[in-house]
Order: sequence, then structure tokens, then C-alpha cells
Amino acid sequence: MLTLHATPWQLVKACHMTHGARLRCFTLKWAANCRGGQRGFLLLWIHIHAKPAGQHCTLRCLLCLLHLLLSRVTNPEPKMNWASFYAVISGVNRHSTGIGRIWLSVLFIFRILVLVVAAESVWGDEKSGFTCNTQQPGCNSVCYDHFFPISHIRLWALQLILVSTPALLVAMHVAHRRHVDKRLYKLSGRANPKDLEQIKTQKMKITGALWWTYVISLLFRIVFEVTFMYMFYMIYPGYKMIRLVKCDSYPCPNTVDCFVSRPTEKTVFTVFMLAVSGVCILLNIAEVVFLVGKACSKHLHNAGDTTMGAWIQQKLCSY
Amino acid sequence: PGCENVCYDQFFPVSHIRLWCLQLVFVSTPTLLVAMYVAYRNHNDKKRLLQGSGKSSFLSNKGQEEELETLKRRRLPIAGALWWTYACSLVFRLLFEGGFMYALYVVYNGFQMPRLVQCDQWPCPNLVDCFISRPTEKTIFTVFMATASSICMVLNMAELVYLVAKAVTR
Repeated sequence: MLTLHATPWQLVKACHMTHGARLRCFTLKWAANCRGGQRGFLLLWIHIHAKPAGQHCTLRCLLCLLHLLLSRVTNPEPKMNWASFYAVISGVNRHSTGIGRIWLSVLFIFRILVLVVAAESVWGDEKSGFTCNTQQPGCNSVCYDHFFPISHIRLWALQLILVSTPALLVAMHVAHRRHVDKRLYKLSGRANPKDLEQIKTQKMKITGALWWTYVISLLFRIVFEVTFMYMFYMIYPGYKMIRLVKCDSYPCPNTVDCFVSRPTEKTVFTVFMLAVSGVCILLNIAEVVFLVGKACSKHLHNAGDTTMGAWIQQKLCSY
Repeated sequence: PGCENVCYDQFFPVSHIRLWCLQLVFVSTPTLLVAMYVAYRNHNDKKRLLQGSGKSSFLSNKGQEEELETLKRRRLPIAGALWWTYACSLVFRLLFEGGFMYALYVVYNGFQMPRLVQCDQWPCPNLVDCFISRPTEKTIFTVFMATASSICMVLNMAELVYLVAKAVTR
């Protein structure tokens, strides 16, 4: 049984033996010693080449490796544990539509992975590299705080967390449904373990109340994405990182020139994350349209004479 | 103060490491397309199999399980729509690799890391010499990554040629 509290090597060995993923042993041994930017590349290689013997297998092995690599980080700052986050969110993968799975892949590969591997190192020296043309103590900190109320990295991390949270609603609903099904099975007497196992692993059809939960979660996702993009625009107008800021807050004497570190690189990454954000919004809108279209066509196909109220009643009550 | 930041920004708009990271992310993505397509096909076949066995109930449970297992483990022949998906993914891989190598070449004027750059942006006074740390080591690694990238491109092209030739002979 894989848990996040096992040591990385236990996780990896368990992965390799029980699920039979085709992870190369020597690569894993190297992974235990690699650090810095290499870990991102290795992560991606393993993801691509792990044998897709089922989603569980690939996802669990990826989780192993994420845990292994993140636990080897020697950075003194506490880092966000994206591995456990990944584990929770990827559980929703089974019950999503096709577009939902594409969204999830885009989220993990183009946003979380790029954020962790590349963007965090670009913004790593933003405070230490922020130099002001003065010897006045305190002026540096005050100017930095005035122009960067919240760093891009933190905003993106918050955005990713909030945008992925509605998926948890869906996961909870599915778990609830499974629980109800299991109780019904037990009451009706068909309590052999094989049937109960089947309930755990079967894919839920997106109908009834689950449909509503799913659509509401999609709408929330869209709202969060757009809100964060707007917040970004308000705090950092134009999405471009300026090279030079002029600061005159106390205790800086008169007006002081302050220089930002790596402005071009930051602009590049800001634009990249913005583009991926836009793509995610489009995917979510497409998914909403697809679900609504499918439901409408099913309704038109099924019953010709049920009223709208009866249809809604049926949708809400069909568990 | 500030001259260092400005000069660094002028000569290194995007760091090599970030470029390679983005290159790897983009180059590995088309493979996912193929994996997703294969998963989609397997899913359809499984649905068809289950529907088919539901209609004809004489198929035993064990036989059905065996069929499902073979469905999961079989290797799909690269023909039809899968061929097109695979070929498209190869073309995209080539485009991304080539694009990123070209971007690296254009941004850094070749694959060599200079030892000294001269900078005269404001607020630097007149002309200022800026020195880069470990230029030789960086040049070696840049050349290595460029070589690995070109080997990958050659392999992708060979694979594309092989696929096309196989399809044509068939």
C-alpha cells in the first residue's frame, strides 16, 4: 500500500514490483542523487516512458518519483508539496470527460511543472537582486514592497490551488455515490467482495446530480481563472516586467532608481503562463459546451413529452 | 548600482537552462498526444467488447476477462488514424526542436559563451566591462545539449522517413 509517509526508496521499489511500470532502475538510482534543474527533466522523461499499463500505474509511479525528487531538495525554504497535490487531483482524472483529462494534463505539464522547475528559479533572486541607487537602510525593502505587493510565483501557486479545488467537489460527490451504492448492494444482499470491488473501480457516468456538480465545478474553475488574470493585470499592468522603478516612499531620500533583476526572463514567463491560462479557460468553456450539448441532445432524444420541470426533477433525483 | 542588473538583462534575456527546460517540455508533449489517442482507442474497443458480450451471453466470464487483458496489453499496429497521429507528433517534435535550437542560436549569437561583454546601457557610466562566470564550462554544456538536440532531430527524421516508406510500400 503506497503512502506518502514511506521513504522514497520504499515507494519506488513498491511501484516497480507491484505495478510493473517500465521505469529504468539505473535512472532511478541517478535520480536519488540529482538536484537542481536536472530533476525536472528526469521527471518528464519518466512520465513519458513509464509503461502505460493503466492510469493508476503511471500516476502512482509519477507520484513516487515526485516524492523522491522533492524530498531531496536541499533548499532551506519550505517548498510546496506538489506531489501530494498531484495525487489528490489526479484521482479525479478517472471521472472526467476527455476534455477534462486534456485540461488536467495541460495543468500539470505546462503550469505546475514549468512553475516548479523553471519559474521558481527565475524569481529566486528577486529580492536579493533588487538594487536601489542609494545607501539608505530600509529603502530597498520599502521600495520592493511598494512595487511587488505579492510576487508572481505566489500568485500563480494560489491560482493553481484555487483552480484545482473544484475538482475536489467532483471527487467527493463520486465517493458519496459509491458509498450509497455500496450500502444499497449490502441491503439487497449482493454483498460478495467482487461486486464491492467493482463498485470501487467502475467509472461513474456523468448523469444526474453528478452532472450538475461537474458543471458547477467547471464554472467555478472559469471564474477563478478569470479573476486571477484580472488581479494580475491590476497589480502588474501590461503583464510586462519593468526594468527600472522610481521610488520615493519614506525612508528613501527624494526619488530613487531601483532596478529589477532579470526583467526580460520574467516577462517571457509571465506571457507564457498567461497564454497557458487562456488555453485552460478555452478548454473549460469547451467542456461546459460539450456537457450541456450532450445533455440537451440526450433529453431531446429520450423523451418527447416530458416537461422541463420533470426533466430537471429526473436529473436531480437520478443517483 | 543597477548597472549589473541592466547589463545582465541585456545579454541574457532568457537563461539557457530555462530555454532547455521549455524545449524539453514542448518536445515531450506530442508523445502524450499519441498516448492519449491509444488510450481513447483502447477505451472504445473495450466498450465495444463489453457491449458485444452483453448481447451474446454464451461467452464465459473467464473468456471475457482474458480478452480484456489482451486488449490492454496488445501493441496497436501503426496504421490508419494512429499513423497520422504518430506522424503529426513526429512533425511537431521536429518543429519544436528546430525552433528552440534556432532561438538559442539567435539569442546568443552562436553556441559559444563569451568571457567578456561590453555594456553601455543607462545607468552604466560610459562603457563597462562585464565578466561572465564559468564561460568555458557553459560553452561545453551548450555544445553538448545542441549535439543531443540534433541527434534527436536526426532520429525523428529517420523515424518519419521509415514510417512514410512503410506506408508507401504497403
